[in-house]
Amino acid sequence: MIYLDNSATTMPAKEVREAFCNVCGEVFGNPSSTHRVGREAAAIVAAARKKAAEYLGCTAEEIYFTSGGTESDNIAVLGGANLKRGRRVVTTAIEHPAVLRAMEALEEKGFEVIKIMPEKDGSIDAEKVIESVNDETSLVSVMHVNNETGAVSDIANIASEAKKRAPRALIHTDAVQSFGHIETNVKKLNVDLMSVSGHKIHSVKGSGLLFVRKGVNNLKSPIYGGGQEKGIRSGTENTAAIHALGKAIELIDLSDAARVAKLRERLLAGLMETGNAVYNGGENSSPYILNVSFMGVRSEVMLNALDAKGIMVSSASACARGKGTSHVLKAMGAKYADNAIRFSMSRYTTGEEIEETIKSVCEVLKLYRR
Amino acid sequence: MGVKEILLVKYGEIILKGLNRSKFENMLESNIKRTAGADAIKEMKASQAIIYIIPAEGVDIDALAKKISKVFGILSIIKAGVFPKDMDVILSEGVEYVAPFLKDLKTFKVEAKRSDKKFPYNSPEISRLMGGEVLAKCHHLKVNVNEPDTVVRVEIRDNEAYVFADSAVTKGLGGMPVRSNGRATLLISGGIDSPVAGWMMAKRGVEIEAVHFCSPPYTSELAKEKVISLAKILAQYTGGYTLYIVPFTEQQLAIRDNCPEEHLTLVMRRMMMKVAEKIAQRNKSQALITGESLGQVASQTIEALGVTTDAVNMNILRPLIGMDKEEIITIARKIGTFETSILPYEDCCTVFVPKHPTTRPKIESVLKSEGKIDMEYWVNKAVEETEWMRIEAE
Repeated sequence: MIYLDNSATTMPAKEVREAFCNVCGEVFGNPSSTHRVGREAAAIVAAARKKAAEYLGCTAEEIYFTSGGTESDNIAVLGGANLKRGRRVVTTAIEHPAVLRAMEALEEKGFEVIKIMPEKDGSIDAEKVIESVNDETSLVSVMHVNNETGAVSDIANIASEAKKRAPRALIHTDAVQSFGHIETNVKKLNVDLMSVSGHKIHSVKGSGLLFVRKGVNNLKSPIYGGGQEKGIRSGTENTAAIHALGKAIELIDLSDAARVAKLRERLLAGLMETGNAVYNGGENSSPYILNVSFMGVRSEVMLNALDAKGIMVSSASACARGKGTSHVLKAMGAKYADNAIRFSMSRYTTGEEIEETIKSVCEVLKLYRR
Repeated sequence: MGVKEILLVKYGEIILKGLNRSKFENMLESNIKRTAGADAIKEMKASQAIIYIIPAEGVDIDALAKKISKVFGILSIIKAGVFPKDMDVILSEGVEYVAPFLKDLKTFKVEAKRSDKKFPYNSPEISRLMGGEVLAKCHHLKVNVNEPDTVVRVEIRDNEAYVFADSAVTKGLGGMPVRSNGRATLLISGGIDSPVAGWMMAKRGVEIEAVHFCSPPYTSELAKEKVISLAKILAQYTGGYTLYIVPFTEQQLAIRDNCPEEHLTLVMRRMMMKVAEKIAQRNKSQALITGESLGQVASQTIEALGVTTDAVNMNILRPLIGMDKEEIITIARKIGTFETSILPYEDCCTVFVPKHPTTRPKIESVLKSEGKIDMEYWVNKAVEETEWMRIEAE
């Protein structure tokens, strides 16, 4: 089996699985309990918080554990926009549905949501975002790496310039597809809020975090409850998943990105050689994601055919299954949006697998292209 | 301890069948047994157009009634209480038992029957006593002998007495027992129509087998799983059967690459019919069943249906032929296939759709198009590569 759908989810690392199971079985306490069993659990959560903070370049107090990307995005968007600070919210048309749907909820509440369209290559022009920010703006939310095309946005630039134009605005980035792949230091990116998901970087599903910069004290969480995570994310902490996330962060090796970038380059070159491929992307892309359309073969057909050969890829994003053409490729104006295939790699992807994939795609094209 | 209960199954049309009646009754009984499951029924006997079912110990009688209500040939299922043959007990406990079924009604009458003629009360006496007792306990009720809201019934049998009200009824589906009207092979696609077509023929007593065509990679594994789910829902009514799965990709590619575009769908459907006919002959079916409805799509015009029919020598049953889509959907909802049918997976009929299909095809010109491929070769290949699986109700 060749697994090239790592943007949908990754295989939890062996060390992560062990870490998860250990805590799941042995440290079952509620971290809020004051007795010994509870304190043990609290210590596990604290250790993971410290690790996450070190990795992101912030303090432990700025890390809030959540159930994953969607929850982090929802808290950031619904909690970060505030009519008192301004009714404008600036985002892009290529965000994950966790942001886009939350934006629709804001619109219903009376916010003016500005959605920046991507360029033809799927990238977001930072200038266009910055120009849309005025002093009425309370939130700017731009994803770091797009989950379908891999396009990287210049978050540092957007954040710095946006803050000049709207000092009271909060800057959020959905870093689900960049975290663990490329640099996501929150100081360098200069953001106030950042969403991270664990299962995209070899942790377990149900793990994730939201970075909230110290000093941001007007974030109004849409989740009500027992006040865990300082009221940002109520609900008993998922100790085992948090521990697993800490372990997964420990295993991150950004230097592997160079190797993966070469694999991506080879895959793209190999696919273009077929003469039937159209690259859906631009210069500045995550090394881990490659989106290509194959003329004459619809996405579903290519996906099924590769599936039968033991190669797992995806058409658009896994979340969008059965929902028609990708909103990202549509926004880009991609000509062959219905023929798009996303190949997404991980630290476990090998050169042989890439060669095998190229070979298989050629076979499929030969058989089924029309 | 609560009152012991049994089910009384009333059946419809099969009593018209004269000499074959006992054969049909046996079929109905065995279909009931199969549907209920081996251990659910302790005893079953037919008497005067009613089948009496005594459930096994610990069986939820309402769940059993619901399950059995999917057996074709049943008009209604009534729940009855079983009492000792003691008039005092029948009156006191019997009325207490039926009272909940009379709650929302205004009028009733009592009808009594005794097969044990030695019972010290005759039928009119039983009726009168029972009626008085009901009136005494249920103050909201009045007697109406001509048009009662329900009939309270007392039956004195050889060993026990049954007390029940017609209002304690689970409606059946009618129709005739499956297997009483031969066997046919259903072409099942995964859409809304074909499971309904299979259901309708099974309702008329036809035993079903099913054929599904799949075209990977144009159709996905999920599409195949969807068809299997639909087949299992259908099996709740028809009983278990065989689903034949025909790999059809190469055939569709051959048609696409060689035949004129406007005839793609027609040639494909003719080939499907031929494959289904061969499979049907092997499983001793006497007819094919399709979910076609006149005029629904280009391949279902009166001319196109003629061209499809021409492909085979076997009888083709098209129970939906005169139905509107809305009517078909109503049945699909009722039988529980609709939600599964509308899952959005590609089905093999829509893989290669001509931009401008012929709606008034002439058989001669379709045959000419069909001549571009080796029909016999492709049909035989499909039949040879067909896989099959056993479908059981789920």
